[in-house]
Amino acid sequence: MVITLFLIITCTFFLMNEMPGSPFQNLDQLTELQYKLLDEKYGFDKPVTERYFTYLKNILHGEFGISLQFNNQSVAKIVFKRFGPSLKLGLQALVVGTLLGVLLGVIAAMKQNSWVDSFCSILAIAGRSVPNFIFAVLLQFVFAVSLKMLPITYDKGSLIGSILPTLALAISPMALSSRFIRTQMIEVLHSDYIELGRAKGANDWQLVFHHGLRNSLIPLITVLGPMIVSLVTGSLVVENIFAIPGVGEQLTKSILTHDYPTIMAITILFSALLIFALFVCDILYRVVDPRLRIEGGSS
Amino acid sequence: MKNLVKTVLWLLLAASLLVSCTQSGSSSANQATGKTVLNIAGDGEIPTADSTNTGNTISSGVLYYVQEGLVRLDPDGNPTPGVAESWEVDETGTIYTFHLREDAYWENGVPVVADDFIFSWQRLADPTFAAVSANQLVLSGIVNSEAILAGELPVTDLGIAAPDEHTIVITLVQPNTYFLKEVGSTIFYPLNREFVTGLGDLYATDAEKHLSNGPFTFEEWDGTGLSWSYVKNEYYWDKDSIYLTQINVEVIKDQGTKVSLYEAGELDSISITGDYFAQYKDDPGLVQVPSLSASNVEIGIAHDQNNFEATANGALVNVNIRKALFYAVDREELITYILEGQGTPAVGIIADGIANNPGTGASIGEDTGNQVYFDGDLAREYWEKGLAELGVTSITLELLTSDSDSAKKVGEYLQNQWQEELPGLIIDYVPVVTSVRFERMMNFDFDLALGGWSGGFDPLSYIEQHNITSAHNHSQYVNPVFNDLVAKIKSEGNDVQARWDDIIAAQQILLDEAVEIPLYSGVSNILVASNLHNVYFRSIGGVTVDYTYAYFSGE
Repeated sequence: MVITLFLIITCTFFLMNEMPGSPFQNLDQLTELQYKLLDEKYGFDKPVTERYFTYLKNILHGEFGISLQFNNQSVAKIVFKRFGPSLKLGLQALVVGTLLGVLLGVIAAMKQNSWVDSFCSILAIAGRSVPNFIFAVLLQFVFAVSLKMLPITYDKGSLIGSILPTLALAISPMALSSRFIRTQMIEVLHSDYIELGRAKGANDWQLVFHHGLRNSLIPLITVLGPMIVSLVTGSLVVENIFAIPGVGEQLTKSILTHDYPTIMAITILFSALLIFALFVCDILYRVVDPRLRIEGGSS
Repeated sequence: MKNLVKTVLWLLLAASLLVSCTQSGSSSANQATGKTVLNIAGDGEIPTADSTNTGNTISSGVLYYVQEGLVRLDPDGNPTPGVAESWEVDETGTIYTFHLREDAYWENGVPVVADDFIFSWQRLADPTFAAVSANQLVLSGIVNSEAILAGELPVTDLGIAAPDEHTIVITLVQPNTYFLKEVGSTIFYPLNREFVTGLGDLYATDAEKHLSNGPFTFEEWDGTGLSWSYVKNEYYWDKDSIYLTQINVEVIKDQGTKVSLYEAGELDSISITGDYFAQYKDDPGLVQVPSLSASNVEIGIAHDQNNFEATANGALVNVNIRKALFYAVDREELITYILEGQGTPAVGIIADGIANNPGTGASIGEDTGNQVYFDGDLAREYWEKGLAELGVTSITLELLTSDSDSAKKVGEYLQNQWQEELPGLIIDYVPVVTSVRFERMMNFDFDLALGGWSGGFDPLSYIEQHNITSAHNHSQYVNPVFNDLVAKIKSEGNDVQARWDDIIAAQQILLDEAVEIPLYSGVSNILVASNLHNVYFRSIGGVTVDYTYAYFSGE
């Protein structure tokens, strides 16, 4: 895991160094001396390899540097402040989306080829193919602007203020998990042990939730890891629509303003999250599927 | 009986209407009988709240509410007393004496004194501080500023002195007609020495670490966030003119969300762009403020000279080719169809409305007439002449623009129109990231580039960029007659009429030689709620929309 992270840091650092343009504003109005002093202040006067090793040393000490886009602001503070709302909304969206998705998937599988199934399919396809910001605008228009039931923008203080952005972000995990669960569930429902259970007189709901669902979860866990990361890292457009002070928008802005230390810090955060999420998925496999536990134990 | 009840009800209704009428009448007389909290949308995060290091409109727009310099500007752009209650200029026009008011205080009750200005100005001039807009000291002509910024003199040699606690004397290299307006700019605001040095690098990194001396204090800003507010400053010397108790700012980046919040009454005033302009163009709350920023196409004359073979066969050195390009652009069509009405056609190189003829009061455009127009036949005439002189039948030129949607629309339009109007011309259109466009312009590595210029208060700032000494002489235009004229203009600060006439003459040289291709000036579209009054609009100086003295009428 550490090696992966190290490789990512290295690649990002050197690629970023090749980016055209300069982080300094009003470049044209600076005198040569001022320019030189700015370079020295941020260490740009040193060769790239030296800067790279200095950077590595600093992050090992937990120092992510000073932002170039916000005067004298520490990068750690910027990223920390922006990550809070994204993490909260992302996790809410994940829970809501996955629960709804599983429910829809199960219903679709049990009522296979009925109108309920078709309805769920349409919902899932729409959820996968229509970008979430379209849903964001729709939700905002219907529930906030027309019906005036919910606030137009995100409000960090209240749960009500986070409902619309959560729903907008939940569409994609809902659609994805409902498709996975449906496919798996149909397969599981036709397997021998379910037939046996049915023969023994267990009712459908019992079979599905006690025996079927657990085995259908494995492929879902595989996609869930990366999905968690993409949810908590925020979405630029959704963040703009609901005026959320999130980290996705910050990353885009940092790239546009050549704020190198902030780009690095956010990249490291995202990579660490992804690595961690994949690790948790590995553990979850074993929790859900006892067969993997035995294999893991023997190897 | 039933009729009686009906009549009574009608009378009651009429009476209540009458009462509400008189109430709204009296409210505008007394002012501020409505709500006192204003909600507005911000344009973006605040890059810095340190006035010395300000180089962008967002920061200066914020600091305008919470700090104050020697002078303020009234809605017409004339200097009015700020921290200085009076001032005089000596007969040479180079020594300004400002008398500070005794009732100017910082938000913590400490008086604002002359040393606060000395500290702030020396901080600005300090090359080790590397303030992004420090060069304004040189442009304004403050004595020794150039040498100090180059590290040749200590900051204590800057042309600003404090004979006593409430007097400031500023010395200029030469007279500057526009100095009184410039001295009110953000970078020239005072700073409390003790407060700022106490915090060091942490100064102004959040609202708590900022000290106000303006109409409002700065609150609830965490340093990088999307919301903050201004609260009425009880220590402000002119607090009786301030009706609002609080202004809340929330950054809304999505236009649709911003408009929805305005419609719902959650925001009292917003700015809108292109897409929503059509929807609101007949709205009584819409105000269009000309921005005085001049958009133009710059011509890389030098690039062409240096790369005679490689690029355009020296085409851009030929004045006829440049004039052909100049007359081949239909600015009216560009503004109507491409910019959706968001601009006014240029009449010259200097943005119209920036300054007036001191003798007649006429604006630049009224003085010179429209110098910039579309004439296809004239363009083709120059084109044929130019091609003949060069001995070629076809020319390829590269057009460089930023890669924003709006810049690309204009770029594509120009490419299309030039190719259509001028047979044999091939425009190689290259949209790039703004910083790359800028870098290439600064290195004189371009043929044609869509750029722009926001000058200062002085009309000279629009034409000076073509002067040989300017770092912004992107075209590397060289003309001794023009350069001498600019030098002369700089020396005649006291003779305002002669200076004006020479500026007009210098602009004429640039237009006759088609050194750049002026296009249009921008506008800002502002929506203001009908119950919000006394909002000022400015094209230059301070903020575009000024809510400082605003008030709401009662319900």
